[in-house]
Amino acid sequence: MSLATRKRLRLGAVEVGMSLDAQQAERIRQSAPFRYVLRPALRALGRLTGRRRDRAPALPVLPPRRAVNLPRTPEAQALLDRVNAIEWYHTIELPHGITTPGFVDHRDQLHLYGLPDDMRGLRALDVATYDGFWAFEMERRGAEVTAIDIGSWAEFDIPLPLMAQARAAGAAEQITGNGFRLAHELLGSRVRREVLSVYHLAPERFGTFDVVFLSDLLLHLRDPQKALENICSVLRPGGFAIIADVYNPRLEHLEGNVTEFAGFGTYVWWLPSSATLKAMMREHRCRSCAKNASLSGMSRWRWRWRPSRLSACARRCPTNMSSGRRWTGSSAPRTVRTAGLPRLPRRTLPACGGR
Amino acid sequence: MTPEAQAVLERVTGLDWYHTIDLPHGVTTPGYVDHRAQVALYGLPDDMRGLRALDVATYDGFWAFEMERRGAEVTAIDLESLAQCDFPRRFRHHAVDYQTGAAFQVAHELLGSRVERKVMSVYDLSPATVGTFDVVFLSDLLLHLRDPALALENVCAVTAPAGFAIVAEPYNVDLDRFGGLPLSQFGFEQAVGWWQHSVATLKTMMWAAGFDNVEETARFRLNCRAAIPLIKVVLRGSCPIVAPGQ
Repeated sequence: MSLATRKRLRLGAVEVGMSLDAQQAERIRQSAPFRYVLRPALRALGRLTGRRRDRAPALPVLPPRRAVNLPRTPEAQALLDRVNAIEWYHTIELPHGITTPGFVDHRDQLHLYGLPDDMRGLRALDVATYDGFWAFEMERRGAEVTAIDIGSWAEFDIPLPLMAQARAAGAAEQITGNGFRLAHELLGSRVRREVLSVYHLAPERFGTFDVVFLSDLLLHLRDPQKALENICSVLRPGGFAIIADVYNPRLEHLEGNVTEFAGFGTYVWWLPSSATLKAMMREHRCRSCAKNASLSGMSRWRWRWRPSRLSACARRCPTNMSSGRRWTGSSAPRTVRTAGLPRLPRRTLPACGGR
Repeated sequence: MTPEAQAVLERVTGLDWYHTIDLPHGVTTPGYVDHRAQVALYGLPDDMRGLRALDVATYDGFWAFEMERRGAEVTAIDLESLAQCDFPRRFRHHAVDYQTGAAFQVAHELLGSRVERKVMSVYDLSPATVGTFDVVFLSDLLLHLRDPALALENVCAVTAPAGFAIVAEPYNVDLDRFGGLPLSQFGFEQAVGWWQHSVATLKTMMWAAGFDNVEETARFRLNCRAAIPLIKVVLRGSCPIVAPGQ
């Protein structure tokens, strides 16, 4: 039960492993001698021995929200008004050279998600599809895609006490899927979109799938395990799920499956470490496949079970999330997803922590 | 041994007791956990006359009977069988069909209690089903739940505006040392619990559930037969936000 921090030091051919009580480790990490003398020295040594630091790849810096392209053709001009009337979450390339001004742009990072290049003949499910970027992408690769999403923002996991405010702000009338419907029409897509919460996902609803895709959803759920359990239940025996979610880098150095309870201050319930995400998925794997429970770490960005059953890719979130400061990078806060909902009151927490 | 005690003893033996309860004629149940010496740490009012109290997940009913003894009008809720507990898919075959109410019924009868026991999950708790209460008592439950935040939301929803809730839970001492970060450890060890929370998580969760005021009453080691020491914290949540529809 005890928490420990593990650290491996490698100098040339010599490797030293250390395990320390996590609290002590934190104290050392904060101490001045370590910060100003020891750590720079170790880094310099590491540089001398030519070792590349084994780190997560840096996040590609994305340009800020691109404006909708302004193509010259009359067809494009006619479409522009319709595209601009919608607040886009996904950046999607539409016909006539129009690109939606999405809040998040997955296009350059597609390869990090490990979708099969050829998905012909596969049944795929996109959970919480929003504007449908991933559904259309899987369709482009040949899959027969079903996409599910909540029907209105009132179905969002909002704490009971705040539900009244959300309803007063018209959350129930905020129907989702405007962007999806327009993109669907313009792309001539045959993706089937159904209104269904992941909490109610079951094989009886839309059958079972070869690929289930879930991205950036678990952090918004009060009960992420229920979602994972349901996803596992709609997987075919040879199928796999890709779970791409935000993790908490501040907890990465801890041994044990630790998660932060963010308390919904920024529409985020939980911020687990990547190990916790994996453990949560493991907990829900169908028992029939439990024999194959070997986990091989491929990179900080993606994990895959072999033989593949569920695979995960996690995305770093900036450390200061739960304190309500600004996010940076591509995994920015989902406050845009909740546009129109009330800003949550910033109440002060009761004095927390040890005595 | 008096014949009356003998009769009580016969009814007590053969049952699997979770709580240690003092029954009439000097009989004490052989419970897994003995709260008797630690009752004072939970901060229950001495005089609860005229108060409506709810005991969530009552099991053998120790706390329900204790609150009744102090004068409260007590409702107790519990699952019908341990098989209805939150088990992960991986451990669901561990679920045993143990009827939780048997020992409660025996103690209830022997004590001549008027506690009303309802079969209900904390997930279904709402003002519409049970009304609201001046005191809501929840002990050693959240660690067994997959969705503790929902349980606390429901607890808050059935707490009367002027009432309070007592949440007494084991916590992870190691997690508690990280400068008050609301951390929790995930892991279903030996099919007993989903989460080990830090005190900060429990407090934050109570706040998120709607208690504007959360105070810590006590920390202590639970007196029970668990293999590892269970360190508990008692939190008292008051000033519940009024939920929609009330």
